[in-house]
Amino acid sequence: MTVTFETVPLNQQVANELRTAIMRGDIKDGQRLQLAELEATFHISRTPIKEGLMMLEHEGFVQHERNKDFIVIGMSEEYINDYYDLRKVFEAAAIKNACKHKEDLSAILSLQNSIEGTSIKTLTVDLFKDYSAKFHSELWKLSGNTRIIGFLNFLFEGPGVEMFENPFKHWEKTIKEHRAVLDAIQQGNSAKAVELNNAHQERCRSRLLKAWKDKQARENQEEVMHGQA
Amino acid sequence: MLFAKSLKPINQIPTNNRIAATIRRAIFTGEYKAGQKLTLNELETTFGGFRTPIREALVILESQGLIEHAHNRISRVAKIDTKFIRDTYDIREILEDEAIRKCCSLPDFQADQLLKLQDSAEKAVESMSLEEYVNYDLFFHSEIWRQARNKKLISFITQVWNGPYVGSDEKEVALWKTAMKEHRDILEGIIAHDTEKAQLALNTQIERSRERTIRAIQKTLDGGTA
Repeated sequence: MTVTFETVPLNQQVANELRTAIMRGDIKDGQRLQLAELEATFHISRTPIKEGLMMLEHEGFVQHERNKDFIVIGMSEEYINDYYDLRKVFEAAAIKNACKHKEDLSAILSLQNSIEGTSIKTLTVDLFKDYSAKFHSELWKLSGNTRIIGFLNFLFEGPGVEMFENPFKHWEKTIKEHRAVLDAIQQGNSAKAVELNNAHQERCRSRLLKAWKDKQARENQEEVMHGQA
Repeated sequence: MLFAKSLKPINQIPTNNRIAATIRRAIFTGEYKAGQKLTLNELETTFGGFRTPIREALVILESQGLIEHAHNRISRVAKIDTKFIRDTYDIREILEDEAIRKCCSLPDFQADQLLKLQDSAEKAVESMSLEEYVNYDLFFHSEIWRQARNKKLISFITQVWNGPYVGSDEKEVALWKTAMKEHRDILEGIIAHDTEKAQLALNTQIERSRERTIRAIQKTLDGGTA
């Protein structure tokens, strides 16, 4: 399985890449992002880079300073909550539409079958990330709304799974929760499917919030220790 | 005019996005027709200067498939169908419903400014200009988005916003009055933490706007093929 970016415009790819790097901590809060540097990194022209930065500015991720550099504000509890609130409402709309119009589920079911046929021990971060991204993009397609896919491109990268150690348990749970949502959609029970999907999103939200807070605490401790040395 | 003055503090939607919203509305209602050329110079006249935000607005609209870049400084209006409009309105409805849900759950929703705006708009409705009405409508909605405190939501709504339905340059006081009644219901619903009431009023408004816009574009599409 490979993730293809054919349909994602360059500016959104820039925004996604930077967002993930900020979430992972590869780019630190307060760091200055220079256009020339980003040009050299991405090997693309200035315009999509600037547009990508403008998107992140709208999301409150970076701040534009004096018409020149962008400063990283970084992730916050607020950002994580905003992200999951929107995931929930968009996916609820998709689920309702799928049940109402009995949308074709064959693509999402075959994706789900194939991950369930894979031994969890052989899964890698990349494989799981790819499955998860595809699962949600297939779910969004069930909304029957072509414009929603454009918004999906902003959201699905979301929280990086690499932030966590020993992810097997989370992967197993996620796969099970996805199946339960699909079962409810197949039964045409949209209220149940929405409820199950909300519960799944809530679990992911708490998990990410906890990981993020732990990371903050660790970094603060390191700073204190560094200061004492 | 005092009423217009009270509309000043809008910064939820930056100029480039407001220009994009105006052009989006014109395309949706068929005022700008598929294939029509939009030149930077003409747009500058329409929007009174602002070259940079106009350029940015064109980039935004191009990324949404509403216009195509023809060549230097000239863009062409893309052909859109009724599904595109329906999908756009559906996204707007999902997002505004969420904003209202959040506002209804707030213990500290700030209603004073909105109530004042609403009162003066209702009083001035007969004498309002089209521009004043569009500004009032934007202020009303964007104040709710702002208080919902979800930056991503605001960024998304901005991308699908086309303002109220405006079928022509004519004033449509009766329609404005209906919309104002709905705004009043939304506001009362939020203040009373009555999500159902507020969302019902919003959904009624979006539904009407969506159907009118679709009828308008359908007419242009039919006219184009005849």
